[in-house]
Amino acid sequence: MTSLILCFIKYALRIPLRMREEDLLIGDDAVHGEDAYAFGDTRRSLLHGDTERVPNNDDGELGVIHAKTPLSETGNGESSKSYEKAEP
Amino acid sequence: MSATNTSWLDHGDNAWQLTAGSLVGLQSIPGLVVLYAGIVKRKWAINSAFMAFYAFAAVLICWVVWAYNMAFGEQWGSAPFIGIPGPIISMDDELRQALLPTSGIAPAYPMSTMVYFQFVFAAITLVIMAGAFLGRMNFIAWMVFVPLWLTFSYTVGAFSLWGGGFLATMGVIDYSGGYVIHVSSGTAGFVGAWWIGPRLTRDRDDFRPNNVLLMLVGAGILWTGWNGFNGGDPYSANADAGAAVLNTNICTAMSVLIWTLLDITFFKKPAVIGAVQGMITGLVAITPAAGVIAGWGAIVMGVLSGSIPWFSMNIVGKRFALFKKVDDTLGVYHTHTVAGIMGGMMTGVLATTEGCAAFGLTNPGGAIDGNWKQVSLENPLFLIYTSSGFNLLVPFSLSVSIFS
Repeated sequence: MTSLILCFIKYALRIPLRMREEDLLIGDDAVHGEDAYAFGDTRRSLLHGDTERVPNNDDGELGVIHAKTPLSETGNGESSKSYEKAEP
Repeated sequence: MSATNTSWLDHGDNAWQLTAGSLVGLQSIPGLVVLYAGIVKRKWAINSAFMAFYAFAAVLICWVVWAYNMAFGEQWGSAPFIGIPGPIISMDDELRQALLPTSGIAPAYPMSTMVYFQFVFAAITLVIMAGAFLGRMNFIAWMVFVPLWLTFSYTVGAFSLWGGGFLATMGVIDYSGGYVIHVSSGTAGFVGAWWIGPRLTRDRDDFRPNNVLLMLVGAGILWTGWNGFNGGDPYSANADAGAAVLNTNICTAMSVLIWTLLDITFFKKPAVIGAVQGMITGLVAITPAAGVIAGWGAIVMGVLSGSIPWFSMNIVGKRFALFKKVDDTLGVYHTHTVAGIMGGMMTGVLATTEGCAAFGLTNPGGAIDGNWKQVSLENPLFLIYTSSGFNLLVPFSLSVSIFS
């Protein structure tokens, strides 16, 4: 029954069961326009993209919050996004 | 009975049934919502949480407008597979005494309590299934899939076992949904995962959880919420409800311990994600048995649920090509189908005469009380469900594929 339903969605309704490949590479931001975390060091948040945490020692803790350059400039977020896309 | 005359109402039963239903609701929102959000890779946190969140909402509307009556209403025609679809949303529908017409069960609370209680089970079945589709399914396809699967698959299983259909008539015990919920969602999840196709290779290779603590919050809500899942199924705040709650927790605790010991033995480290898998298999395995087996039976069940799905997931799942080809994201097949079948079969062995009587069944217990017939009764289901799960590979089973 599950197979019938999925085939119906795929072939009769013409709705793809999978996301597009480019959305698969990016994830939440591409699908929903949202990110799970408002801070972090790999991707900038749409809401709080103006801060970043810089490690001040090597004990694995996140470190202190610094002000961050605006989105338009080559900030951490921009570069990490293009890095994500460029990955094989 | 009319809505204004409430002589049938038992305040205690109604209070407990609403509480139990709400506990099961909490298992989905936020329980599995945050468990999924935490256990997946960072970039899929929102998508995974949202799939679960959406399913909960979509199932309720379909449920009250047509699906409840397909699962628990009057039998449709002469075939004992499904009820007549129809809405259950009038004021009289909500206020009159609950009644399952086909099986003649009439609990001492209103219909609205019954409809909500059965809804949260239907919802969590879809939410569990989402666990097999995470990390690549098109959200629009999921939005269409949820109502269709609820309508054409869940209702059939629920009617057959709980609504008074043919499996219930045969005497099969499914205390709280081992087959209706766990085997069907795990199997359908596996089949669906095959159709949808795998995640990106790099996501499969590196799918480290983005927030293990959030996952543990979800796991805790899931565990304690199971008190409503199994404690609510006597449809009354009776002695058997207490037994079911205690047995559920005993089995789960044992399962966590065994899974962790196996992790230490084979992987040299106790991993908390493994412990959560063990928790889930324990909860699933005790579900068909909770109110009918004894406390020591729950310990036995926990030993098995902590070990058999462990081997299925860590040995079979990693060695066999089928499990590598089909990308069941969270291993729902192992934690729900394998554990569910195991729990169902062990119910046939461990069920006690007193437990069955307390639950309102006339079955003379399971194999430990000399009723070996119960073991074989739990068995045909096992065959129907598994063969239907692999219906792409086993042509003869197409005739029964309707069940998942």
